[in-house]
Amino acid sequence: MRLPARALATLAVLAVVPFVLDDYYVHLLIMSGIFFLPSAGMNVLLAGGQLTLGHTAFFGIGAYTSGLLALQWGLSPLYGMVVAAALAALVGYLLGTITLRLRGAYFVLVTIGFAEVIRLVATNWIELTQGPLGLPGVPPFDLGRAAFTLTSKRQYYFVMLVLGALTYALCARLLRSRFGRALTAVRQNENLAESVGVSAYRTTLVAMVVACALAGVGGSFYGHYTQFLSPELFAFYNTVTMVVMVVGGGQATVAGPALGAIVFTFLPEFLRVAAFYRMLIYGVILLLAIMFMPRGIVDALQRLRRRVPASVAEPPAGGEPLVVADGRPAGGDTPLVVEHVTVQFGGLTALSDVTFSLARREILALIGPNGAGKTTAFHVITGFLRPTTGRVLGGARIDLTSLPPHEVCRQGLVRMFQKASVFPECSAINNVTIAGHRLGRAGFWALVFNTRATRREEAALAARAASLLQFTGLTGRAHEVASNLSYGEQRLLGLAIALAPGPAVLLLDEPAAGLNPAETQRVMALIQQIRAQGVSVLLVEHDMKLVMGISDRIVVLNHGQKIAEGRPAEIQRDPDVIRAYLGAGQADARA
Amino acid sequence: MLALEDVRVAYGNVEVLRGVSLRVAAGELVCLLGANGAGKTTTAKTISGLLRPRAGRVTFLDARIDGRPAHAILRAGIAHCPEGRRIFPEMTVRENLEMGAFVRGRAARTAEDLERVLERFPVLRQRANQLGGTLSGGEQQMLAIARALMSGPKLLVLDEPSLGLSPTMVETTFELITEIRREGMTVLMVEQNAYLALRMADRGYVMETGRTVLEGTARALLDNEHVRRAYLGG
Repeated sequence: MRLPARALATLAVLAVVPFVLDDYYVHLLIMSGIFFLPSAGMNVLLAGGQLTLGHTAFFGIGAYTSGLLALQWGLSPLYGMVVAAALAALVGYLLGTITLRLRGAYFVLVTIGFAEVIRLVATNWIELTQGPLGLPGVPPFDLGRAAFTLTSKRQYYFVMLVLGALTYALCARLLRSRFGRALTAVRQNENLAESVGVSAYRTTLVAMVVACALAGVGGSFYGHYTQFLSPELFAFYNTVTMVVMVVGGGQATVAGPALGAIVFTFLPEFLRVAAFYRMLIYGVILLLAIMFMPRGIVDALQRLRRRVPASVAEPPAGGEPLVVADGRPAGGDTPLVVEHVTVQFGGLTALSDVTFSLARREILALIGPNGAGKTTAFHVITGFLRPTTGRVLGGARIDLTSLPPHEVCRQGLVRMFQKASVFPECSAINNVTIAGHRLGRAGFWALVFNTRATRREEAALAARAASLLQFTGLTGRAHEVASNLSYGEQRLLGLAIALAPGPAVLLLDEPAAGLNPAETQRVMALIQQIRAQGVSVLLVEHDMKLVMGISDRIVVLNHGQKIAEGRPAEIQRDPDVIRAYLGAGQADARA
Repeated sequence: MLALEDVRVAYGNVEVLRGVSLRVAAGELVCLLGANGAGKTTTAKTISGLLRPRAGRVTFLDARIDGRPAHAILRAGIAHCPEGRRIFPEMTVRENLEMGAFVRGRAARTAEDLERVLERFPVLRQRANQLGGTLSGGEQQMLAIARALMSGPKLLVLDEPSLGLSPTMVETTFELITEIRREGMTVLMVEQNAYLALRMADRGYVMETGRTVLEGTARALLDNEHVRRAYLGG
């Protein structure tokens, strides 16, 4: 494990602090540390786009668990803390399995409700908790044996420092790893994340377990430090404190919760001089902070420094950029079969008994008027929509019909979206790195300990992302935030993202939209190169020059029905197609 | 009518427009061509006040408008129809159109204009009570243009009206623009479909890396060797 110089310097300063400051400040630092733990956890979950407003429930569960174990059975608080973390994690896991299918406000409401229920239980289960009276006399923390009981603030401080540093390191590793990228992906564009093989549900569930375990540890330490337990632990304002620390410090950043925990523990204390007006002033400061640093302290500090973008990894030298990830475009000879698919929304039939198949190395275009059902077909194939009847088969005739999108991706089918095809707040290069998720093998603990294999894998993913960016001609824009790219550049980035998981079947939804004719020709060349590497392409596009120029076959949809199928030359002559779609003016664009 | 003089715009520290100058005279149809990322959409957004230039002047009907808020510029008579069919998907077609007239606020005139716009877009009349999001792509583009017209503009700024439309819809849309234009509307159009755009435009400008580098009549641009190679694809 290598520690960067800055981390060592910070640790050194923090180690000297208790010998310089008096006990009052040491106490405040311990409290900062205690609140840092649940806040850091909340931050990991927030990085995945889920806000919990019931986090104090897990803090309280941790405190009561190790407190009661010590009081009733005399278990050492050190072991109690482990049990507390495990129990909080287990409860978090159970709550998560039920609720993490919910998004946004619904998840927030459930967590608030959960914390309230736990608070009522703690208040009313008098035999266990003495209800509102609370439990005094919780034993002080020790290091496994009574002989090592902590007796001074300074000792508590150092134990807290170790816990805090470990938590910081854990969160830093997680947020900067492939797991952290998956969280970012889910937060910024969940559908796109799913389509490149990230399971939004599983990713946020792991984050939830981490978040709750950390809250459990923090709560446990708090109980032994204050030596008193009461249902107040579950009060809503504790959660609010954590949210202020995370959001004020800088959500989804590594240092945010740590800075936030210190600043927002000390600030109200310093304001005690204002006596009566204290909370009013605190409120005004919070308001100003949110107005002027909406993304928190960390972001504001980064703005002060001139940021030098990290260099892009060198693409592997020589030869064609590697599109196919592991050299095995799976799928046999017919990697995709759509059989008698019908989709009905209420009374509307979006697709009606549509059947077609895609051969290996084939470029098949799906054309038709706006609203003919092309995008619906993409939704069905990639698992975003269940057909009313019919089925979709992948390579080796695996039934894809009921698989969720990230599983479909694992079967080698990756789509590009028509709208919102990027992760808007990430740089172009990070967009592609995120999308390489499926190719990573490192498990949770390998990421936490950043093993040699993990580092090698990370380097490979970075190089692959750089090579795909070069392939799509976006190397010069690598560090530009995706939302700043022009529409056409975002289409190209969307293409690079869809290539990142190494598809056997690539589904492209209007790759040339927003490109001028010269740029469109380059995209045509790209698609042909992709096919040359053994990938099959299903293409939706309105640019007839492109469609007629590179397709092997064309399927025409109109009002949800297949009205024609054949080679480009046949399709161009088909009277039905001309009437429904091509129009008479297409005659001169045929060249 | 509209003039941009050496306009510069930056996102953060990165200057994306590095000197854009162009003029649109009353009654003209002018198109803006260029590669992706050249700054065409940024130019459109600057004209309609969604972005503020850091230097240069934008004048409209002899008044400076750079730095004025978007709603004031709309009121002054510039309607911007952004790329990618931005409509209000959860409002009905009628409500979408009424939103277009929001700045005018006078109910009687609005009703009259609504009638006139529905006249011109019979598809929208059929779908008046449908939610915007349920329209097909082509119909959404119609709605976006119709909504822009509802503010009673003197200048219509169209950003990529053909984006994502089927060939027949592209034809219909361009016919519609020609028609609107024939009735006296001044139009500035950003378009990737350079060939079709130049065929209907009076004049055009070519942008490269944030600058206007070439201007001329549509005819001259169609014949220009550089334009042919770079934007018309051969």
